[in-house]
Amino acid sequence: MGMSELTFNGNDHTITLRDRNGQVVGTWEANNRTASTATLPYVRNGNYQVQDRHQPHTHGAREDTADGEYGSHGIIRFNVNGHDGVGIHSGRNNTPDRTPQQGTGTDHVTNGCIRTTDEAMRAISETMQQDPLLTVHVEHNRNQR
Amino acid sequence: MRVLMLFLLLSPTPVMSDHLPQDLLAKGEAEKTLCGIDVNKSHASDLLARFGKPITYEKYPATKDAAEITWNRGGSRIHVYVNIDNVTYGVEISGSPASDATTGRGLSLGQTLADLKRVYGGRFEHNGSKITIQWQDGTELRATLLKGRISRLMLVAPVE
Repeated sequence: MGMSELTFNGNDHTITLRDRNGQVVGTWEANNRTASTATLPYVRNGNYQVQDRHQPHTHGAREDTADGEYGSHGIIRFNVNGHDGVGIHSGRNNTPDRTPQQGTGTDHVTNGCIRTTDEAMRAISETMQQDPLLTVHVEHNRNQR
Repeated sequence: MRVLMLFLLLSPTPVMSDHLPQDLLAKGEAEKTLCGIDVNKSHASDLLARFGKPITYEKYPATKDAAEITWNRGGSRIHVYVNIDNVTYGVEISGSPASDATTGRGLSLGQTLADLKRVYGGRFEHNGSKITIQWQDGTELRATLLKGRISRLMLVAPVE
């Protein structure tokens, strides 16, 4: 069984999924805007080991919705030294955050996580069932606020 | 040098919470207030009326939020984060334990880890000098210990 991998590009604000053969499955919008009070202002460039390799960690149909905290497909957590529960998820499609920019969707602030779209999370969820997700690469990232 | 390297390798890395695992989430109602400031309701204008002239009052774009305000009160430093609705979503206190520098349930600056457990129970993350209590709704209370006493408290409304 081959492995898939994700790359978050903090400059382009995209996330790219590659399958076991290195073929690009898709590229979607993503961002890493965080709240001022977050203990992790942004995910540093580097390679991170994924915790949820075969399927996202979900919270039940009532919580995991398009406008919910994590989006429709839950969260894919990866290991960030010194932090717990950092991951990739979607959510807040139609709810602006309460920052001056009032970000929605991928721009809605998080507590450190990378936020992408429901479409991306669905594709990643489907791919990782066949090609377990081993690594998240983060590149060209910075404090996005 | 070998001893130093061994020490560094064995030293626990401070873990800060983002989304705590379910078994560490605090049970029951989340804490809502610190210094009498409700992190879901208190308006900045009410705090200015209550606490008086702040020592700093920065507004966007000087700060990333709508505003950040700091007061000195009885030796305690109170710092609040304000969102675009003019509502406080984060409160941080440090310094000397002023009489009202306490959470809604009565945890204060200068108290101990035992006091924290008595007030909030045993479900929290504790790494080095940092303690994070996170409730199911995402509300977080962070405490910093210095020489066994709480030297800093921060209450933050839910942010995902």
